[in-house]
Amino acid sequence: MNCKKNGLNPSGGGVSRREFFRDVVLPASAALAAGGMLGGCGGDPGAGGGFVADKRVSGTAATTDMVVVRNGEPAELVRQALDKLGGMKRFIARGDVVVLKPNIGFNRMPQQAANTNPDVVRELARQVIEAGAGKVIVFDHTLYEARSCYNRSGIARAVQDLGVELEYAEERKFVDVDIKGQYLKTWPFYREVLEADKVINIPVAKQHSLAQYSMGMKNMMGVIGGRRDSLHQNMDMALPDISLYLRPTLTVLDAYRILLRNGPQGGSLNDVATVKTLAAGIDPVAVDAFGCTLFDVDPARIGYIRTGQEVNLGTMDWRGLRIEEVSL
Amino acid sequence: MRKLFRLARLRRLSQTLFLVLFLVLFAMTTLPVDTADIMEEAYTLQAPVAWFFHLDPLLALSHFLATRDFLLDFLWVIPVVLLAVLLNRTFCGWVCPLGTIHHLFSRGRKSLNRKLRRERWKWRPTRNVKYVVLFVVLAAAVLGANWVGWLDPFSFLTRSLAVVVHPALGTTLDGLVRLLDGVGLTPVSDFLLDALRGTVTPFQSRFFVHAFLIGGLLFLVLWLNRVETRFWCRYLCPLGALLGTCAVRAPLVLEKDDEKCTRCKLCLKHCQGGDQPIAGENWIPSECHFCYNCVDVCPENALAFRFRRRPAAVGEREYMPDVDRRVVLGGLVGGLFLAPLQSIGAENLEKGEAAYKISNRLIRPPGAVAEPEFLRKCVKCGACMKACPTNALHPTSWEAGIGGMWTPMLVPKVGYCDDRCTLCGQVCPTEAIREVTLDEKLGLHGREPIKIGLAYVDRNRCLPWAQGVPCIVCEEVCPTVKGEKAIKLIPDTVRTPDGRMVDVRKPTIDQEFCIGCGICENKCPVKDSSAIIVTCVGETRSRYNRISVSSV
Repeated sequence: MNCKKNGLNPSGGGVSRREFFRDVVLPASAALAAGGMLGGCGGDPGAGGGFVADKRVSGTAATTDMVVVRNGEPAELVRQALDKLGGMKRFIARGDVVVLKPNIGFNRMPQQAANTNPDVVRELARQVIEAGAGKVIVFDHTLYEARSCYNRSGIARAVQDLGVELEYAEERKFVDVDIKGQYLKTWPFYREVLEADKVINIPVAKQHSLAQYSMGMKNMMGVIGGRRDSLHQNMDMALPDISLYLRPTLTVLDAYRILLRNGPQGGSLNDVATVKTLAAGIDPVAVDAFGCTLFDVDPARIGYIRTGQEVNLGTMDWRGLRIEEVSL
Repeated sequence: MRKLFRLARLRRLSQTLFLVLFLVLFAMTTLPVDTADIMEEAYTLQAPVAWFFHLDPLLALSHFLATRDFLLDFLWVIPVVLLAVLLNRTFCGWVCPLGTIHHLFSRGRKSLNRKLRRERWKWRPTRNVKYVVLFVVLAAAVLGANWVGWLDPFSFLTRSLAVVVHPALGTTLDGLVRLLDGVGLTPVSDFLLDALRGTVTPFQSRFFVHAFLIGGLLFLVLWLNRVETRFWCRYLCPLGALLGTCAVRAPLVLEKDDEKCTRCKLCLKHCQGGDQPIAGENWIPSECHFCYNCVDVCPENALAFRFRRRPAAVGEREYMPDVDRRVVLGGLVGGLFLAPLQSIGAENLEKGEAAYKISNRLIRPPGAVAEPEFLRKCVKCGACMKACPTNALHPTSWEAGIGGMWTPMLVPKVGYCDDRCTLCGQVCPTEAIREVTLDEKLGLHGREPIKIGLAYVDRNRCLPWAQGVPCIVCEEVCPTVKGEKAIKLIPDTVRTPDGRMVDVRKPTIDQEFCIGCGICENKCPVKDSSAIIVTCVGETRSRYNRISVSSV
């Protein structure tokens, strides 16, 4: 009844259906299809995916590889540690995209020592910016609901006026990478972390049920996605696999407050000890091995630390490194 | 004439404002993300997100009838009732956000013409169905069966938005983002996510079990607007019926000039309430929404609203709605008979030691009152489901009995109860979920924590127990309440299926500390059917649903 009005008549003044299809729908579909194919190819993991996952720096004139600072307030501990390591400029080049990876896994408050101390994160962010980084991202793939973790931990607030990007994990940004580990073969890693120039791992030292102690190597679980719960079935191999693939630039172990019991979650203030210590180093196994001393535990008894040494991720003998210990 | 012209515009403005306000409050029914609040461990919602519910005289009345309790928040209904007495269903035409949505879905020139042709403007006795609904609901409420939530407009709208529309928006955005990423327009998708995530769309994709029926009802009701303008308002809405009964002595009347009328039927075409504004037909005051479209659109200026004492001008008969005694009595008696039906098979009404539940998975939100009172108070609005940051609360289907359909329950497999969150109690408009403080919830200062259930380990599925494979994710995520975890690990040496002896740690539940939050079931790696399960026994709100006499 309304055929003529609907514009099948090409001389009708308006755009006819045929014209619309030919001039708009076909090209748009072609563009989308082409883009879809391109998009599908981009960042395709395949074998390693074209990411430079080793974020270490080398060839510096530095003389110290690890620092332990005791008896200070968080920001001061960080400053001293980096100072002795040769300054943040040793690690950060001008214009770098830097990912700060604190532990924000739980919606606990700073005094409950389940997450990294916000002042530690803040000072590191400040130093990274001062060293000339182009973009600073604070990120953790949290265990609990993300917004409550970022807020309750104090970390969101601590960095909010520094101009850093607070990144909440998005499903679409996890890419499968072929890491060829002993236990993990192909696993989803967060794209922003894979693409960053430098990654600074900022764990907090705490007791953990299965892993026994959660420090640097355990904290790196925050850059992966997928069925992380299944890692528990072989934690000793899974953790070194992650850190062997994505090697952090620097590990800064926050031990201002440590969680002695009921980790990794914590909650009770009775389980927290204020130790006012910080360790920073380029060897993730060594930093974790040092962390064991805070709990009076022999690092050789911790499975993933032993395995870490076996696969040449680092060494348990932290005292044998070029190390400086400072007491404020 | 020009004055009334402005009234129709004023009405549109009013509808827009109230709808926007409703949607804004809805969007704010969520985790507050102001980072300035981190020193407070408890989240506090600043916005009065339940305000619309407190305007609703139907909710107020049924709440009072069912609980014999008057909630001070419901004092807000007084201006609404006054408005109804003076200007009868102006609320429907000017305020009700669901009414506005129906109004929008009724539009369209072709649709309006079709409805005019099919005489959908005529009053039919079927319009009385809404009075039947009203009286059934009220009668049932007297007997303690609160069914108002299914068809109350605010509950209906909030529930439909929370359980169907809001998650669907999230899915749509996710699809759009994927498409944009695929064509390389990632900055655009990033921008969209920043703008919309957490407000217009859920922060994290969410879904609700049993949403299908709620969604189906929503689509049906919206589609019915194509059959007749504002179908819901005319035939179904019990609040509209309640406000309509206040119309019997309303002083605002529609005056028709029969001589000027040319029977062009423009007034009928645009009439919202279906009250027959055309000259020559009886005007039905209890159906009129006072949208002023008829006056606005009449080319002959044959219509006008005046304040007048009844009866109206010469030539017009006084018309009362056909809500005679039969309808009222029928509704009341029907309600009284139907109400006990909700008890058939619903053994969750507690009767001393005989109390047992249809479903041991009926885990209620923390702060929920005891079940009989809960069913009397809950209006099934879904605000708690919207507010819950972990997507833990879902509408029931049969778990609470038929009368409890669409009340909230915790589904640990989808979401757990964040031990430091108290949002559900803050948003509940009728205190079916009490607003508890964090101290109360956690059992600080010598109290007992609020327990909503108890976990148990299925030893046939749990990896350390059944397979000799290390795991203990449940113990790790178990929150520390009163200083200890509810899951304790027993070290043991077990034989694996291939004959080796391995050291494992086996999780067991310490009844004293388990609060039933469900995070263990949520995070258990045995994904299809969790090896650690939470059931509702041991819930603090029930004297009877316990295992032992003392704490649990």
